[in-house]
Amino acid sequence: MNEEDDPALVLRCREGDRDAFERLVMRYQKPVFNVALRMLRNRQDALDVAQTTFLKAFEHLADYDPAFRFYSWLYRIAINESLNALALRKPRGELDANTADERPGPDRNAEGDETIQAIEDALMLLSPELRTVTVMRHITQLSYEDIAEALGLPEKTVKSRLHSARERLRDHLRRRDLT
Amino acid sequence: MTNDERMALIHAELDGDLSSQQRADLARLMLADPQMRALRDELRGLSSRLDALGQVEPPAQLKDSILKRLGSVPVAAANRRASFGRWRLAAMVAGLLLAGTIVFETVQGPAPGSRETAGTMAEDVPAPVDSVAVGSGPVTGRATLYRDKNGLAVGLEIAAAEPVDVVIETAGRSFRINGLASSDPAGSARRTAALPGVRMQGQEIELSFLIGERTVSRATLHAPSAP
Repeated sequence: MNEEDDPALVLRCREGDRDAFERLVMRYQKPVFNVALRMLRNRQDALDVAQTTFLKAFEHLADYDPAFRFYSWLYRIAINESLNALALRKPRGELDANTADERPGPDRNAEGDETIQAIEDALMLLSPELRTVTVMRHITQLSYEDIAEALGLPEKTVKSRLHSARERLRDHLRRRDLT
Repeated sequence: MTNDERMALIHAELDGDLSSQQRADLARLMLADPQMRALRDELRGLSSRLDALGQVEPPAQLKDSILKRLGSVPVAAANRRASFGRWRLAAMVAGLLLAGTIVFETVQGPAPGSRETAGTMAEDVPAPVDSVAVGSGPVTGRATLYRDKNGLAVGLEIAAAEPVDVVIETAGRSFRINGLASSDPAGSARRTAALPGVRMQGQEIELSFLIGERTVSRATLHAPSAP
């Protein structure tokens, strides 16, 4: 398989080559879908957001600055679309097992569903800002530098948010006696 | 060492971001403080569990649904940008008339008369005089200088992750647009600002783009001498 790099594929896209865009979709559909899924905790919403993300990326490729990593730009669109989707939801109180949306259902393992579900619950209790950095760091495994670039934030802000997020998640697990 | 400093060490360890000195500091801390050791273990466990959540496979129809809908999306928008049309300019002018967030600051020179401060471009179609790409970094896009019978105006079409303030300086005058932001996360924010009292006299028009009062990008437009 010819692993053409992102800038070359983007260039071909800008020249109207839709096959090149298909390659980018295949390359990034999984992380983009997972970013949306962890932000929204609803498969249908995540599917919609992932689809919109790629369509917006395609439409606005002329605005993409090749000085930045393509995936940072793409994830930024995905995060913004996820935040928009969250904003459109009806206000909710604190999520619990009764109010949580459809479970993503990934990777249940020997550790037990209860702990995984508790972590998924806790993620949804974080503010969108804290959840965003947590998802980008721990789900998409981006570096601080990449997250900072994607979100247009200083690295130290990304670190600070991630540290706060981890400590809140730990507090939540403690309350459920799952640490 | 403060509690914040101790926590920072623990998080840095989770991120594999410790210097050798910090590693030694953390090791001493863990030996001396069982509570911190327990906290570190909890955060390590949490971090491992978060990593273990992993990624699920997207639904099989995702790719196909995207590709199917590409047909209704304009092919790479480069051509669209090149054909920056009068209708869009008219929309920008309308946006100017509605916008309440533009603040004009006269640093030097005569204060503009009240009839100069807004809406001076609506009477005829402005002509582009110069256009420049707004560079790389957190702010990207294009700035265009326009002229109509009433004077000059700067049109901005920019994309940025955060609201941007734009300072426009020329001929000893300074104008400012506050909080320029796009409602479309993948799109560009657009605004046109008239420059009352500024005439074409072969000068440069300096644009500074600020996020949180920090200059993140600059651009220069050239206003040729009036014929």
